[in-house]
Amino acid sequence: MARRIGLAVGLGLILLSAIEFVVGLVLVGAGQASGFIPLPILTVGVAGWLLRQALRSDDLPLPSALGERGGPLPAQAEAFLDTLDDSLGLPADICAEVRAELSDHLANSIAAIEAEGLDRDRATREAMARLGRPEELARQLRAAHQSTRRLLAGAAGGVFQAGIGALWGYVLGCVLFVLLVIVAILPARPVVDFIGDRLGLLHLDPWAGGFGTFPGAAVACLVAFVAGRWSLRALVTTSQRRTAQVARWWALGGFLLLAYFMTFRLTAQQGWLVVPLELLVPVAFAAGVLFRTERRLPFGAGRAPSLLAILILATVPVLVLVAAPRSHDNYVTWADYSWSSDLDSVEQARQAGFDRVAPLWSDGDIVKGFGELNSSVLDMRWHVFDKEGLARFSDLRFEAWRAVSYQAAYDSEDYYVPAAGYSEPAVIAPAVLGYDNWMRAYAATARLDFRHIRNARWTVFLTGIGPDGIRYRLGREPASARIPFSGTVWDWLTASD
Amino acid sequence: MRLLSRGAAEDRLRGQILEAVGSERRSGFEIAELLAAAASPERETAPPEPNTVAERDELALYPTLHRLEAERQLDATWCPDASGSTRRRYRLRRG
Repeated sequence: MARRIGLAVGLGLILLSAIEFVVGLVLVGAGQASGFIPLPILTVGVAGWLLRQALRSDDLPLPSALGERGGPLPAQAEAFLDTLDDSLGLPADICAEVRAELSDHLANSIAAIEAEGLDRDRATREAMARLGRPEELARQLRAAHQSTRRLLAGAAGGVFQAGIGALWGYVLGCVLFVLLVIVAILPARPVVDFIGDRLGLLHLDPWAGGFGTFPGAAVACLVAFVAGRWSLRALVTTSQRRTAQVARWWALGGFLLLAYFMTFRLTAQQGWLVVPLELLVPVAFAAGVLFRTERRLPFGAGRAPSLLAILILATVPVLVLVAAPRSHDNYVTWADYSWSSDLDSVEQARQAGFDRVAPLWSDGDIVKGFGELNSSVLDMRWHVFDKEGLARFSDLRFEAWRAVSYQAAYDSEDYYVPAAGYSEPAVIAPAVLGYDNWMRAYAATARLDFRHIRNARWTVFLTGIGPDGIRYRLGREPASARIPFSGTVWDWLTASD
Repeated sequence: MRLLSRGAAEDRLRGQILEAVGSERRSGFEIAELLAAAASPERETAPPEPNTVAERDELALYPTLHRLEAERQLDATWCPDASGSTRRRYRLRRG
């Protein structure tokens, strides 16, 4: 009865999670309630746990001794069973069941033959002779258990359990990540900063590191590890093959599949922090399959740890908000044409640094613009105030130069200058002049594609060749853009700097 | 009793086992006894010769039982009998 209730509740929760997932998609599509996302994941996880508990066998434990018909088996019979055991090649629990069943058969058979008048020794030999050679019996039993149908069912079950294991791995990863964040922020923060400073990590560009997706990549490694363990256990149990027979092939198959997916298919914010972790995911899966699979993980079974994990899941929405890419930071500053004679010398020096790109056309204010970032593509729109003045220029184009933060500025994070060591722009797009419906004004527009460049910081200038044949930059302040690399791992590896 | 060919003999044994199991729960040994009785009924009634027993080939019994269980034609569970001892018993699968 309890089993049926567990099955019914588990299946009902799976249906509920499907409804939650659809509702969550609608809410997220409307730009609301991103914290709703973990709820269907949590529901499926609980459903999977309930189904797992409900589907466990409720058979009685195997008999430990079969002495009711005259005591333990003779030594010859035990030796027969030992040989059978060694030759069987099935999982340990199946071997134990087979041994117990044949032990019972031998005991009954010996007793029956003894009842027909033979002594115990001859009865034992006759009983064993009826079963045949233990090696041949083991071979036939193994063939009966390890059918192709069971292997295919085991593979399907392994894939399903990989999904359930992935959910529990996600729960475990979130719990560990939250605990790490709490520990790192509070007591251990000075230590983390000290070590990070010594290793130079704190001085690296986090936007080049894929900071936004780093937590997800770290959790994915743990997810893959747990999924590997759960999937192999399901494969071994259902197919009735030994771990040693299937583990290496299962690990290899999962490794290749995940390596292909993580390298060529998964699109995310990439960087030097994230790419190694993503490449570790297939390794983590293989490790989960191969490393001591027959032992239980601390959180792999048992009700108390599972309930504890569920309770701590209350922090998951917070984690989602922390781990989500900071899209509001992927902005482009306004290119302000205004020039103030009160600018201090620091700002004047920064402005002078722009002359490395092209001299400023200072004869009046022609343009003012901004850009809109869509993933790794930047749509520039510069409002043209002086159409006649702009008409004097030819070969108008937007130029994107690799940039660095201007350290001398008060808020250096928002002020960029072209990076030293580059004598030409990385991305060029011709400016298209015309009426822009969005701005409702005459504008210079272009689309700049940064998908094949790893660099994260940019300054974008509008330049044109003046009446004197010299290329000038138009607009006193360029657009500044912070564009984390978005693409697959392969895109990142093959992109230029 | 020698098998004429593996396929035909196995099919015949499968049929005999399913018939022997019937609607009762029976252990492997009980099934073997029923098969032996069905194979040579005259030996059951005739007085046995002293110090001899009937030859039996039970090599294929348990592989066939387990195969039938894997094919979901038989159900097998460990359950106690009247004497309290636990035995693995087979029964025709319902439905």
